[in-house]
Amino acid sequence: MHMSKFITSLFLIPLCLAVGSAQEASDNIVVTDSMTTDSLHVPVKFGIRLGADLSGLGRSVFTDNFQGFELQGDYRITERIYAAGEIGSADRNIDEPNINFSSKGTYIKLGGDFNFYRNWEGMDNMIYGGMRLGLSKFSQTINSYTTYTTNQSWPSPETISEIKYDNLGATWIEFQFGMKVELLPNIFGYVNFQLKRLISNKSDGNIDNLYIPGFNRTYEDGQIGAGMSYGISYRIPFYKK
Amino acid sequence: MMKFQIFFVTILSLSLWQCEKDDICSESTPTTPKLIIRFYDFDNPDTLKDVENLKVYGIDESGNQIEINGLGIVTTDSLVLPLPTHLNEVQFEMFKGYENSETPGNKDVVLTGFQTNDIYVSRACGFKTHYSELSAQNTADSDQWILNLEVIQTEINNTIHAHVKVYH
Repeated sequence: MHMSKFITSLFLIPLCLAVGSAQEASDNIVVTDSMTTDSLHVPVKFGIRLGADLSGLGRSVFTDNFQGFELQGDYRITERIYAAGEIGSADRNIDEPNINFSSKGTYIKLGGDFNFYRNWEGMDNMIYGGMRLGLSKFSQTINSYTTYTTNQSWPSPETISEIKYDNLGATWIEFQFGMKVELLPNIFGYVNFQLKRLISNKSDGNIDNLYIPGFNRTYEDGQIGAGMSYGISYRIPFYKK
Repeated sequence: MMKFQIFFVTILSLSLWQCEKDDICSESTPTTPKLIIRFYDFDNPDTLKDVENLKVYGIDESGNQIEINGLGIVTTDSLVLPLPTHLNEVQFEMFKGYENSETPGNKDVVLTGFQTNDIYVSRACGFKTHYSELSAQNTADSDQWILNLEVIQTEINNTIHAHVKVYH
């Protein structure tokens, strides 16, 4: 699984490098362009940016334990502040030594990003920190399990079950740290890391929520989760200011 | 400009090395409880009485003898027996005065029946089984050492209290 993920990313690297050199040429034009205008304020593009997560797409194609996608978007409010959010779906199968289960559902995350990076003229990159409120609605199915005994005198075969719990839900707060890099005019590559903390977690009562779409796997004695994502986004420019 | 993109690719590559902490099922987690049998004096029913050189085998659904792990030939007034998690009845062959398979002493057979209920424990441990509606009876033979038995606790959800009293 890790290997296939790695292979997927290898496709991205030459792409990034290739567009990097292409952009250097276009940067020169921007520089000369801005020489003629007021040099105190360099206008930046405002618009809505929409992107697709490639990490989930890669896992959907190269592994059989994940099916899902995530769309991502942000809207520039000021030069450095963006309203941002993600929407996605996930169908994840996890095979633990004693339990095999699947979680399936959808999620939405809403919040904002702050760009820490001071761009040079003509650049429009981000190194950002962001916050999200996440909401997920999902179901969980126990496909099979084994019974835990400390005396293995009797054989304890795997029990095949189809125990399904519907209408599960969770909310969480999420901190993101990431980058968005303009690879071609208005086309961005992004990568981010996510640290999450559960606010609410509605389980069936009999069994914990072991994986929450958007939040990812849970831990027994904690509310903390983690994740990452990378992808490509496109900005529809509205105006320059 | 180029530097920024190289930085981006580096961060992207680093993000692919991720490791997950695995939960481990700890030894102290409450597990599937076992059946506790205590042996009493038939003539003096309030007094515990040892069984001399007792050997116990489980019998599976195909009639095979199952060795109970950790239980050899014992002289004791109490027995802790694991029950299967995937069956609803099981026999135990109890040999009193057991020496070896050639001279097994006096064999009595106890038949136990129960309902199973699998209960979620944790991600790492999986499920455990609790038992209910416990019944126990000894099958008649010509030379019985078990004279009577009594189920005193029909629910088996812990390994603290006795579930069955055997009089001999």
